[in-house]
Parts: sequence; structure tokens; C-alpha cells
Amino acid sequence: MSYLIKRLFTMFVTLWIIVTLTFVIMHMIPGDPFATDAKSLPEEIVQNMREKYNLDKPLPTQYFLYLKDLVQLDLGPSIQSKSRDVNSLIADGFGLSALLGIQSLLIAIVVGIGLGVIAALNHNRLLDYVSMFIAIIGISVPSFILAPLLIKYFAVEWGLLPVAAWGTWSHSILPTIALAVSPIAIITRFVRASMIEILNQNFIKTAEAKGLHTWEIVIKHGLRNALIPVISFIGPLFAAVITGTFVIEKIFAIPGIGKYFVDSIFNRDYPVILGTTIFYSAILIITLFFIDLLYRVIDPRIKIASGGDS
Amino acid sequence: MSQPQINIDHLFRPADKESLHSDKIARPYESYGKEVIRKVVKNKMAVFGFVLLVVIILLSIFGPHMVSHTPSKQNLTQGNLPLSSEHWFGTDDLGRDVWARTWAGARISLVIGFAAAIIDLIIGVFVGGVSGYMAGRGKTGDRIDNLLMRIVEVLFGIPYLLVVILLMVMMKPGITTMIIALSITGWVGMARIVRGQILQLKQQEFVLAAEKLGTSHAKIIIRHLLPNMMGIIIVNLTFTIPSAIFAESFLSFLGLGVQAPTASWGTMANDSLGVILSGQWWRLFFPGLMISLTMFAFNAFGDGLQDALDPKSK
Amino acid sequence: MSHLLEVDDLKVSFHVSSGEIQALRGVSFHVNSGETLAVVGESGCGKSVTAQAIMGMIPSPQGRVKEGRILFKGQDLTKFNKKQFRSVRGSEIGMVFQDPMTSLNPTMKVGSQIDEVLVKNQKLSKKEAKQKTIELLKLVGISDASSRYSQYPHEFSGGMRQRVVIAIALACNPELIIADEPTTALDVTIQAQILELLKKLQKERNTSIMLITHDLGVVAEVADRVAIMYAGVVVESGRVEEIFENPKHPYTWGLLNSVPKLESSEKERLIPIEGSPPDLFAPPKGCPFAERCPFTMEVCLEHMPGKEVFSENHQARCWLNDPRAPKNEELIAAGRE
Repeated sequence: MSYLIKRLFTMFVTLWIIVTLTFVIMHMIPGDPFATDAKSLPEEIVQNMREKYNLDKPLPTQYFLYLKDLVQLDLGPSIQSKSRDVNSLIADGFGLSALLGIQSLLIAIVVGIGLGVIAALNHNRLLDYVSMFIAIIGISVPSFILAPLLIKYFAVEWGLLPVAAWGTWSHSILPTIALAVSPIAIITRFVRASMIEILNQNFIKTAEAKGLHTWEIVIKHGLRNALIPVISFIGPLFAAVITGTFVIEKIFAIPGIGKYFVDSIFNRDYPVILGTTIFYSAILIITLFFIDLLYRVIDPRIKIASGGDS
Repeated sequence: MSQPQINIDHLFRPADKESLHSDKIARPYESYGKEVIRKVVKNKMAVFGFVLLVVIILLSIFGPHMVSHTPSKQNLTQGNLPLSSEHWFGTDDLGRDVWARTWAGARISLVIGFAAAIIDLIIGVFVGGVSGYMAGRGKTGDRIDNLLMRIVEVLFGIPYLLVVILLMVMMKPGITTMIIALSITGWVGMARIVRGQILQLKQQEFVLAAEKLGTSHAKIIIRHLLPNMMGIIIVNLTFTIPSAIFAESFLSFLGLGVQAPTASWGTMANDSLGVILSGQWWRLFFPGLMISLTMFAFNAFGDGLQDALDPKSK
Repeated sequence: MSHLLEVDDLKVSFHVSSGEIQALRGVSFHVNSGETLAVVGESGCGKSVTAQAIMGMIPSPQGRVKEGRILFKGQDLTKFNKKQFRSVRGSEIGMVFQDPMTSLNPTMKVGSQIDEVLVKNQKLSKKEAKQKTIELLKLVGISDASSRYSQYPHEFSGGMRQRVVIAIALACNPELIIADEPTTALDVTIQAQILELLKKLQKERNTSIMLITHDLGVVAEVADRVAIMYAGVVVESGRVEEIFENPKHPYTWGLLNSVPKLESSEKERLIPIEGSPPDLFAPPKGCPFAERCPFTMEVCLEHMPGKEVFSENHQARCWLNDPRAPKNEELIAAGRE
């Protein structure tokens, strides 16, 4: 239990550091959010706007005001889309981004583990080479190259799937594939390496000597042990999928958080940049936390050392 | 058993054992380095990756000079031309030669990739090494390890590209900025790997023995720990270089990386997004192919190296 | 064919990048019902490969049985397919591995690891299996068996883990247990306990044991018969008394000389065998021990010695036992000291 409290505490501290760092970085950015409008707006109005967004106050004051709002889960107003605040932008985009992200992550995990296990079981044989070839192609071709190709062939030339934008579930198929390819490759490689190592362990020989079937050995004795090191990779993978949505949402013109984030950077929309960064980080940190818990469930050896490794 | 047919009676007398050693056939001995090279060479994918890499590096050096067009010279009357003997990879909408731009982009990608990876390596090995080595060495040692790992944890908690994007927004866009942004968080992965390795190696008998014998810290690190980690560090390097290259093209694709008119694979791909459907395939194809081939080359070579460095592989 | 297990002229090779390693070059021995055969030799002599061959667990595709037969209850195991091997493993032949620290699955409850073999081979229900597992844990001397059942291997000491491994091997009451260096990784006191346990279980259940070891002290304690292996061949075999009292092969003499004797009051020095075994990558055409043997004759370098039979059980492969060899009694006597 004390471990949980400690871990939660670390989580909040991490998040606070991220908020602070991002806040500082944000305010070091050259350029003014009203710069683009400045030509058309009279000086007074700009001044009023600066007041409204607290930009006229000293930085520490701005920081504390921001923290105060943040504690109430209020990420503040957006500068660019004047009628909306960051919360509602995130609320709007989150559904789409989450659907895309979760769909592709699930596909990646299932396909990746499958390919990795097949490769490991056929180590140095044809199926191993085939799986590794698929994996290496998946890592080599960036999603922003793959996505236009998918659109060109599946949507435009063959007309199998809708081109872009958002509507029905079928709109999510191409972006999901584009997003899943590189995680599939990463998982395949890790599972393969981990599985090959586990299959060489003595306890696999014990299991073999019990007269178990190969698949029983693989599933009951191999996979669980092989997945332990792989779990620690879900965090970065998750981060990769999040960042992947930046380009994918841009290419497919999907109004998800990723698109808002990229747009906000070009518009110098501080509150949106800040809000989305904090939101992404919070999600990632919470994911890492659950991964940590998952570790403890799946690996009985960790419980003993729970004090030591945190 | 198979008793020899020939008469062997005369052989029942003490043998001259000295002669034995002269004609002994021993298994061919090879040093560790040679063995690794032999295994890599045997791995066709690795060899292919290495050759591809050399070709790409050579073309990034000489490619732009092989044609008479400079990478950013515009010629609006020559816009969107298909492949020809004049423009090997065609031209873009501003009439710039895609061949010249592709290899100029390769230069940027490779420079950024190598520079960022080397900085990552130095910081990562240092932080990971100190952290792993100090862990479990009294209160101060644990504190140092804890502090460093906290920093790593915080940085690890933010999506890598997110940080890079924020930094790119903050600083003046350009190659140096890109390298700095990539290496500010990029070393975290290396640090974690090195720390994990050291923690593992520290438990092993030969390190414990060296320690008990009073070998100095520096000597233990240099003589025992580092050589045993070399493999994993080099392998990790062959994966951080392409990930930096990927990050560069990713950011440039988003418009956050190198700025026009400098050619980069990412900006070229982004520029061509609008025309891919109208048939000017070469504008996406060549930069896309080169990014993919570069990533492939590094990964194939890295995989082969990883296998070869694994003492368990034959 | 009264032998439970009979290995006949078994040849196994491993193909690696630099060529072929002839791990077994014609191994023959047998195990009778209810007896313990100790297979003794230095590391790399082929003891473990022999065990792997019997279990059908030679790493493929590099390793394979090239020649010979392994008759278990009259059936030739070298002809078995994967499925047939599965029906033998665990149920008819149990195996105990060398390193108890790594031979149990770290993420599986100890009890479940024993249950598994019962459920698989005896088709017991989960509940029945658990019942029997707890009995087995008691049998191998684990106190508090029902609470130990749901613990993980890391909560067990090395000796306790080896008891668990033995329980797994024993679970289905196999006719043969192959124990590959079962005590090597353990402390001396624990070693004695584990050997004691094996002896006790064998008596109670009339199981045959093929005990692979490099330790003649262990052999003296538990074995009925001994097969001494060197460089992929059995150089001498016989009843344990015959081997200890009247060894016929210079390698056996060497082994016996290198065993510390507790009872001798003299400051007797251990005499190591000089040199190292031949490289099985290119084995010598003559006797493999010739290079290290103090009594090498020219014939030893040229021809592999055949089997000389001394009694029903006792045989050795050494030219010194050939009638044509010089009766160099003094030399031999000197060597045995």
C-alpha cells in the first residue's frame, strides 16, 4: 500500500514538473499570439486581449493563476478559437484520438505478439525471416509516407475505403492501419528477442521433460515470462502512438487532439499547447503507472522487492 | 568392436608422446572481434544493410554534385517534370531538381542522426553508468542513483517527440536546434539500458571478485563493466541513429524542422502531399523511399550486429 | 531384452558453422529395472547429450542422432516422433536437471508446476492433482506442503527447489528417472540430503535412476553400476565395487586418484589428470585418452581399443588389457597409487 502512495506521489510531482517546464518553455517562445491579428486590430483591443488572457501580468503571477485553474481541471481559454476553451477542444478531439490510438494499439499488440512468437518458435527458419522482414519494413516506412500511399491506393484508386475526414467507423480503418504499422514492428521484434531468450531457459526444458505439447510450453511457460520485459515497452509505444496521431490526424484531416495540438503550435496558441501537452503527459504517466501495477501482477518476484526498485 | 584386420602386434610398445603435439588438429581459434565480424558477414541482411548504408552515405556526399542543378535552384518553367536524363528524379512544383534535393536532404538527415545519437550516447552512458554503479553503494550512492533516476523518470514521462516539438517551437529552427532538441531527451533510453546492464553485471561473480580484490572503481568500470556492455551500447546506437533521422523527417514533415528552402526528406514529403493524387508520384516516392531505405539499412545492420554480439548465437 | 533402458552404439553430432562436433561417438550402456546407473565423466564428455538423446530433447536442427539405438522397454526411442516422445516424457521417464535455481518457472506457483504434469499425463482433475501434489511435496520432504503449494520458486531455497524438481520428475511414477548432475549446484550438506532422498524414493518405488555426475563421491554413495564416459564414448563400465576396487582403464584410475578420501590419515595429495580432453571437433583416430594417459602405446594412437569383458558387468576399452600389451605390472601399480 505504501508503495502505491509513494508511486502516486511521484506521479503528481512528475506532472507538476512537466507543467512548470512546459509553462516556462511556452513563455520563452518568440512571437506573440496576437501577432497575426495585430495588423488588423487597434492597439487598445490587443491590450484588452492581453489583459483577458493574463498576458499583461508578471510571469510568476500567470504561473500561479494557471496552476490554480489546473487544480480545478480548468485548462483555460483558447486564444485562437475565441469562443472555446481548451477543455472543450480536448473533449471534442479526445474521442476520435482515443479511438484511433486504442484501436491501433490493440491491433499492434495482438499482431505483434503473434508475429513475435511465430518468429521465435521458428528461430532461423523461413517463418522467422518472413516475420522479421515484415517487422523491419514496418519500422522502416514512416507513417507519414505510408498514409498517403494508403489513401492513394485503398481510397482513391481502388475506392475501397473513404478518403479522409471523419464520419463512419470505416473512416478510421486507414488511419488505424497507418498508425499501427510501426508499433506492430516494434512489438514483434521485442517479443521475438524475449521469447528466444526464454525458450532457451532451463525451466522450458523442465516443461518439455514433463511431456507438454509445444503450444502448452509456449503459452503457459514461455509467453508470460517473455512478456515481462515487453511490458516496459508499452509506455514508449503508447507515446509513439500519441505522437503518431499528430501526423496521421493531419494527413487524414481528422479533428482529433493531435490536429489541435499541431495547429496550436503554428498559431502560437499558448493555452492550447500547454493544455494538450499536460493532457498527453498525464495520460502517459497514468499509463506508466498502470503498467507498473501490471508488472507486479504478472511477475511474482517483484512483490518481494517492492521497496527497492521504486 | 571393429578389431583391425592388419597386424598391430608391433604397436604394443610405449609411444613417443612428444610427437603427439606436433600434429594435433585443433579447432580453429578466433578472437571475439573476429568472431563477431564473421557472424555479421554471414548475416546477409546485415551485410545488405551495411552496404546500403555506405551507398546512401556516399550519395549524400557526392549525389548533389552529380547533376548540374543545385538543390534549391528554382526554375518555374520546369515545374513538376517527370523523370528524364536531365532530371533523374524529376522536378518539384518550383522546378527544383528532386535528385539534388533528395541527396541534400540525406545529408541533413544523416548529420542530425549521427550527431544526436553521439550526444545521446555520451550523456546516456555517463548518467546510466553513474546511476547503476552508485546504486547500492551506501546512502550517498543510493541518493545519487535515485536523483538521476527521478530525472530520467520525469523525462521518460513526457512523449519524446512532444518535448522535441516544444523545444523546436521555442528555439530558432535549424539543424543545430534540431540536434539539441533531439538530444535533450534522447539520452534517457540509453541511460536506462546502461543502468540496467550495470545493475545486472554488478551481481556477477567476476565483478564481485574484482571488487573484493580491491580493484579501483574506475578500473572496474573500464575493464569489467564497459567491455561487457559495448555490444548492447553499439546495438542501441544503431537504433537511436535511425530514430533521430525519423524524428527529423517527422518534424520537418509537420513544418517544425528545417525550414524552406533547405531540402529535407520530411519537407519534401510534406510538399508533395497535395500532388500525390494528381500523379506526380516521384515527389513523394524518392524522399519516402530514401527515408525507408535508410531506416531499413540501420535496422538490418543493427539486428545482425545484435545477433552476432550475442554469445549464445552460433 | 531384460534391460529397462539399453543404449546401443549411439552417435550424436552437432553441426555448427565451423563443422561437425561429434558429441557421442558410439555410446553403449544399459539400465536395469530398479537399479541406479551412474554415468560419470568430465564436463563435455557427452553425459548430458546422452540424457538429451534419451528424452528426445537434442537441440534441433544443429544436433541429431546419427546412428545407434535407444531401447526403452523394447521400443527404439530414436525412431520416435514428437508425439510419441511426449507420451514418454514425464510419465515414463522423469528428468531432474542440474540447476534448481533456473529449472523452475519463476512466474508460476510451485504447486501448479507439479499439478501440470499430473493433469497432462494422468488426466487428473485440477482438484485431484492438487491433492496429489501436496502428497508429493510431503514425500520429497517439504514441510508445510499445503501452504508451500501456492508459493513461487523464488520463495524456496536451492535445496527445496531441487526437491520440487524431483517431485515433478516423480509425479507420474515413472520407471526411469534421469538425474543430470542433481546435486552439483547445491551445498554439500544439501547434496547429501538430496542423494538420501533419491535413494529412499528409489527403494520405496523401485524406480530406476540414471544418475549423471562428475563426482565419484556421489557415485559411491548411491550407484549400483557405473559407466565412465570420456570424449563421447563409454570407456569403462561395471558394478560399483568393480569400478572402485578393480578399475581397468587408466582414465578411471585417474578419476579415482583425484577423489579425496576422508578416511586416509596420510597427507595424501590429490593427483589431477594432466591435460584436457580431446576436441570433439576433430577427435583422434585412436584412443581419445591416449594423449593424457601415462601408459600410452603406439597402438593407442592409431586404433580405437575394443571392449574387453572382465565379468558379466565389467568391461573396459583399453589396449592395456589386450594380451599383447606388455605386462608392465609395476608401471600400472605405480600409476594407481
